[in-house]
Amino acid sequence: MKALVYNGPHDVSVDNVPDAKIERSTDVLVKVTSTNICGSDLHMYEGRTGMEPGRILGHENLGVVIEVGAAVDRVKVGDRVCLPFNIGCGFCANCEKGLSGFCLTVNPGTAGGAYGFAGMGPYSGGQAELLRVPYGDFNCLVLPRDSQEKENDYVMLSDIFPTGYHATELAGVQPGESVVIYGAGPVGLMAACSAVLKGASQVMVVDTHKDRLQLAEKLGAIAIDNTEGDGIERIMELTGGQGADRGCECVGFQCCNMHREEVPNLTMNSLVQTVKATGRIGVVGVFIPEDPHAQDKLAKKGQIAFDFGQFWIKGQSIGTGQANVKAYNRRLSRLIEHDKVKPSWIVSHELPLERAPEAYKSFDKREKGWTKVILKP
Amino acid sequence: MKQPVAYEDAVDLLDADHIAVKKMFIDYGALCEDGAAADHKRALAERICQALTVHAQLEEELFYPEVRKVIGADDLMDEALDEHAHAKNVIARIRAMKATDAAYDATVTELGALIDRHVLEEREQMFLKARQAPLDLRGLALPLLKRKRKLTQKTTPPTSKETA
Repeated sequence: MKALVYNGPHDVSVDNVPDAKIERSTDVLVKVTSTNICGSDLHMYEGRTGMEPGRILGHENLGVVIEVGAAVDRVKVGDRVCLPFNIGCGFCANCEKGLSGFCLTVNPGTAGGAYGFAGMGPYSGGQAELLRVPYGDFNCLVLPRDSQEKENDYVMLSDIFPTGYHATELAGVQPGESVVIYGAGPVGLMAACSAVLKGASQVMVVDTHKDRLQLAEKLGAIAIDNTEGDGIERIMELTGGQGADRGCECVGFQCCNMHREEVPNLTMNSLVQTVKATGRIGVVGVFIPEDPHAQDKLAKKGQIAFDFGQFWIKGQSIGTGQANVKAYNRRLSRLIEHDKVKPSWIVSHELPLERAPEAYKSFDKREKGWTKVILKP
Repeated sequence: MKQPVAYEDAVDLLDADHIAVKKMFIDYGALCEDGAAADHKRALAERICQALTVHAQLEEELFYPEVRKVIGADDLMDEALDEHAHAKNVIARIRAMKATDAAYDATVTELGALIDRHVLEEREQMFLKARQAPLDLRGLALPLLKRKRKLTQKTTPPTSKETA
């Protein structure tokens, strides 16, 4: 089969590799029809993770079931399914509680498994013609009947829609509250969409990319262009000097200042400043336990200089970690089915798998107009 | 009062060592960045070497033979033993050096990279296969813990009586 293979930093190619196949009786084999490039693929693309050369990338996958293992009951050949980027077993102490992003069995040594992701287990990614889905009955979301015509919407259930929603859950957003979101990338925009869905009174989205901020405005959010570094003053003004009720971090460890230099503590400390006393901050941007290629001494050992004193004085709290997609994807799929949301508005490019390498290049450079890429193997 | 054994299974027990040693390697990198004193670095490097030595012995004596019997992947097991041999060699080199030697930091870093690769392979291949095989990993945690206590007795005596 054809697949997008990681060869090393800034080097990916579409190669012929052995077909994915059923390996255990609980597996499901999917013919991938849509697979997105994610911002977190770029951390790997840039060589900032322990990603091994030769691995297939891709954790935002949707497709048609073409084979099921002998122990699979629920999922049938022909079902159109969306796969959460997390791989869970369904029976460990964390999966039992809906915390399938922190499955204790699929990736020994670390809580949580995923497709084609550094440190998340041996599972191949779905930027390929075929994908092996472990514990298929648990992991497959069988899609509603209109899934073919809304495929570009449903594929967002694999990661960015639930992840954006998770940011608002971690932050505890309630109707009528104000929310500040750092990052207008796909996840930040999905967080803004989720905050609007939840009835937030003011949703402020901070970024420096004008094309992305325009998308935030289309959602009904207030775009805060931080290019001049005055984002914090704007937010304080909009919240009467108090700060927002809730904050969401949707950028991660490679956040940059206005000069495009990485300042890993920038968004976290800005949130401490722009969220009100006793407010809550949800962090879904990726932070990593060590970053040997970082410029910053602290970042090398996975630390940031965090304004803890200010955070404590303000009595704030924080929720962190990757989204447990299974906890939300069925509910969120109903919103798409009933035309309440249309997450495909974020898509800027739809390309065949063969063109994935150039897509990585453009997306990585944040070229104007490249917000979200769907590959069609 | 008896203290129950907390490890879910043998894999969790062994992986706890991996996690602890990983943190020590990151700390070692930070000491180098900060230009820490040689005896400071030496003490940490020795803790790393000691932890890995005990860990390798545990795996080789009690864990690998049981896993080899059931997973049907001799090449994987042989590779793991080769990697242990390589690591022991590097540990011996570190222990024979002075912390002021020019190559000291690089050798500790070399060990770290070696262990990173070995741990990744264990987690992604051997540990998964072991968990999916008909092997009493829960039961195996007990002799592993008992042996570990024995091997580390001199440095950390157990504080309470446990049902090991």
